[in-house]
Amino acid sequence: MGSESEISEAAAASHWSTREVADRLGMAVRSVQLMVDRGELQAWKTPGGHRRIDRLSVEHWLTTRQAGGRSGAVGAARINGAGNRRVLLIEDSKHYQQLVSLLVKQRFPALTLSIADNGIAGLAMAGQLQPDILLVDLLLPGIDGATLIMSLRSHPQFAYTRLIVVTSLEGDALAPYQHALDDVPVIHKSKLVTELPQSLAASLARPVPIAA
Amino acid sequence: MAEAAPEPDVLSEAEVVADHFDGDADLYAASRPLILEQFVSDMAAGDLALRRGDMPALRRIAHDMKSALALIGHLAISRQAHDMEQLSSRGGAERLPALWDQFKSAVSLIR
Repeated sequence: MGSESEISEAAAASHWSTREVADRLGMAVRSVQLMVDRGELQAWKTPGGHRRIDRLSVEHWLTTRQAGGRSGAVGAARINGAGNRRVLLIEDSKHYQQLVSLLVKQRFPALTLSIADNGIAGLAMAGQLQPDILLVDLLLPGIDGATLIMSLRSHPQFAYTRLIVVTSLEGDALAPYQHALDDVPVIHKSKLVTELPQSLAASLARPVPIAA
Repeated sequence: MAEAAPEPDVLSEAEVVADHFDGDADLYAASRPLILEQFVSDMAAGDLALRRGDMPALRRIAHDMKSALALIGHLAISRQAHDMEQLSSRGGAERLPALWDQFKSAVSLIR
């Protein structure tokens, strides 16, 4: 049995911290955390609560990506936002425009984020940009978010646009808009920082059908 | 049956970072000054809406500030914004000028 220092060195060589993995993969720390949450990397926590990521799982992930495997490379490209993926945020609150901008820049630096501050401009920009993901507030000047969503759904050109609703409404206040919210992730603004990155990652990871 | 604890007036920075910023202290540090800066514009817009008697505009401003104040942990002031949001949409507009002044004083003291 080796000495304590030898055992400690061997253990350290077999795993990395989240920050070390992020630096090695060229990603944001939070992106690595999401990969662990999705089971793409194997990790555990020390008694002190520090996350440690298995080195072999990182090397396996890299190997899969470099080999060009569809689930690896394409999934990674989606999650990293590579390939000029576009997000359009339709939100009249400057506070939440700024927060979403900071969050996207930090966690999905390769995504292109555009912003419209009312429903009419939002519809026009959606037509112009045909974003991959549309983040919509429900209470908007011009036309409300639910009307905007129903309008987009009637146009085939938006069939592949993923929708995410961000709102400060809850409970009964959501009822008038429920008709537009079937199968749409709804994130309450108080939980935006926690839930939006996961929802964006999930939307980006879904495969985009090949155009006919 | 035990009564539910009343909601605090202000959350600590640690609570705000943990509860509203997913533990991301850097994001909180970047966001907070932007929010406080935007409050200055919000209050100017609210002054204008009140002078014009534009209740829908005042309601939107109060609604927005309510969420932003709660996000950075100022729950009591957020509740004041909620009260103004309700008054500007359901009547009671005669009470608004006094309440708006109190609200602005409270917001201006946030550092």
